[in-house]
Amino acid sequence: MLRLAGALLLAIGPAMIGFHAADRLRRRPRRLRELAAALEQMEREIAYRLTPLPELFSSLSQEYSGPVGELFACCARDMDGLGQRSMAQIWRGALSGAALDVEGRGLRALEELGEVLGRYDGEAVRSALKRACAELSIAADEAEREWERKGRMNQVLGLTAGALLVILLV
Amino acid sequence: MTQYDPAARYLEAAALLPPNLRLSAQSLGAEEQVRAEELRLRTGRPMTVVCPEGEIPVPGGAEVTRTDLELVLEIATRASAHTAQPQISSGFFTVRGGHRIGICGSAVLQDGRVYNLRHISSLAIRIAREVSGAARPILDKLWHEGALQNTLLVSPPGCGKTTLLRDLIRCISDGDGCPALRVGVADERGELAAMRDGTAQFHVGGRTDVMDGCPKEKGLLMLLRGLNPQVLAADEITAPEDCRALETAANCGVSLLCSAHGLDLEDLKTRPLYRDLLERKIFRRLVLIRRTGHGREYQVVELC
Repeated sequence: MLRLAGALLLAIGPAMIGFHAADRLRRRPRRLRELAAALEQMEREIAYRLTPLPELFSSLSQEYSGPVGELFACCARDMDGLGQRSMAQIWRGALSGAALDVEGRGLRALEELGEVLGRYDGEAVRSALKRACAELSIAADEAEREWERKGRMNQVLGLTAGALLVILLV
Repeated sequence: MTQYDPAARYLEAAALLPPNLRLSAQSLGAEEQVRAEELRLRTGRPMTVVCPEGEIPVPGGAEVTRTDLELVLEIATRASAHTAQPQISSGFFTVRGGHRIGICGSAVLQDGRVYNLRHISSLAIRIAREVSGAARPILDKLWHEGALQNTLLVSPPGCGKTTLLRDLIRCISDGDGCPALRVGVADERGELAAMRDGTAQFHVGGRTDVMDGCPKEKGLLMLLRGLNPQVLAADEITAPEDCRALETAANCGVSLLCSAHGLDLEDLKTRPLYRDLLERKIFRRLVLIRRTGHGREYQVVELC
């Protein structure tokens, strides 16, 4: 009985790791598209309604859940400290705090957006937002391909590694 | 409505500065803080403060950088420069509390019009002031046979037109030294009443209705149509549209209180916009404001 329980635990551990890695790959494209959609909404609000950033952050934080909502909630919260910290610092802090899982060009575009936000005219902010949206869409496509390529493989690898451990050790 | 405190006003204006400059501004002596009229920031130069006796450096002030100036605008617009762009492109904008930030930089033109200002080189933060009783020496000279005469306040920039106009509005609205009248204020730049969430940050009287953020000519006519004012007030008449709205209001039997940049009557007569207003006898009293050492001197001219 004890032996069976040990074998099960040995099999479940690596399988969980495999499934977790696959789950991360599955969620990533959706999260990136959600972030791109939020930035697109920001661009529209700035262009047509001239919504001030504190108000915009606050409404986006209520509209989006998960890490995207967290990003805007963090910005909305920290806007009270504007003057002690610059908008770029607030944005960078929120980016590093939220588990957005963005890297490479997408992350660079988001960081560059922080340098422009609040400082320049609407047009410069809108073009930085457009650029970040485009980069995030590319990253989302890439992430989807990665999920198709590696998602199933991670699950199978996890299960296989678990089975192998059971065979070797039990 | 909060009690007016000049030092608190200064600190409110200083709060628009980035941390390093704010600390220097806060270290200014208490007496200077009360007398301060403007904070001036120029790239590559230390920050200065304008007092009645002139411009003096702020102690311990490091050189102002371009980033400092950009940060001031970021703080003042609550990181929403896009919402203030029309004002920024006109060279100034008014922030919460009625303080005015004048901006100097390289103009970006689009279709022959100034679209924006880039590479900001200097900023002047004019601290909104309230001097209760400033209007008392001239108040009774503005009345004739029980009627308030249409009055134009004239002075060069920075001599206290807005402060005097604000106190006149308060006196007339509250009946402080004169009969109380309903006053409509077209506060295009938000400097007269400094409205915040529907409440005036300055004392503008209990019978005053304020239309803020709206072009003067439209605001004056909206007040005239909708709020049945006995007096209409507007700061800095500069455009022919403003004059047309004032003429309409004057013809409706409403008294006018306005201000304009200028030196004296002769100076106004040389400018077509004001010459026309004077020839049509729209204004019956002229108040000339002059700086004298540590204060202001008022001269009331009866035009007709």
